[in-house]
Amino acid sequence: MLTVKITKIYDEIWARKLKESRKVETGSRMDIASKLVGSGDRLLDIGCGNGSFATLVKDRYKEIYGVDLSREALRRAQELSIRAVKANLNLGLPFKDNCFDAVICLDVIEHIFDPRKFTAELSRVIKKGGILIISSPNIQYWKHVISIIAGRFPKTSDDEEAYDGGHLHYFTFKDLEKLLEKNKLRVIKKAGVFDIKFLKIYRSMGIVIKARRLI
Amino acid sequence: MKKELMEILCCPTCKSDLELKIEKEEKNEIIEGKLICKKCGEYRIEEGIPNLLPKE
Repeated sequence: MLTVKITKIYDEIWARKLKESRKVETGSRMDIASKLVGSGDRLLDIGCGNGSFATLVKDRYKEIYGVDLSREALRRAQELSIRAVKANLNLGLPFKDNCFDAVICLDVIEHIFDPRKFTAELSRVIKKGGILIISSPNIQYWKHVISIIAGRFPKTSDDEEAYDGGHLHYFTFKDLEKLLEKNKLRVIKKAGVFDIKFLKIYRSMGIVIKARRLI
Repeated sequence: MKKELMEILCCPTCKSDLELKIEKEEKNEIIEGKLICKKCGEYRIEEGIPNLLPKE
């Protein structure tokens, strides 16, 4: 029953977002991730949505797989020849161990009930020596810090369909790094999504981390 | 979905291999069918998309 309700929320979000283009802005999390992801045989885009990310890497990976809960989003992803799979990320990934050269997980982990179990699943499906690119809103973002000082909880999502876009968890760079390191994923690169360029990375709007699956 | 997907798909719950039953196929794409886990039951392939949501 809970899966049905969650599916409905994401289908509503995607019914609205289907009107949006797949254009990726320079400096966005997708743009940064595409520059970090390299090339290989199999890439899995977790929470692939309409497949925007695939448009950036389709010439660098032989097979691109996408998993999402929203059928509407998966239909759009299929138009780009993404191998689409419908699954509830809270209940484990429907892929065998050590399958993918790269896994992309952009602004998904904050929606998951148990990020520890989810990160273990991400690590399980990545080939040894393969890479993970993960992103999440940064709760240490300078505007969020000001919000808390002003007595308001930060607004971390623009989606209107659920309270704060359905975010269940909030991370800093250190939090996310610790979670990855506990699951055999060594952090090899950190990047921030910036609205003001001269800020320190830990005050950026979004966290983007590249990690390698330990052998 | 393409048949090659079977190389990497497994049951989301118990991680066992799945058995494929094709009901409708067009141009090397499976449009309708079933993915069967001996322990956990069946998952549908609908409009070319495997639906691996466990039954609640």
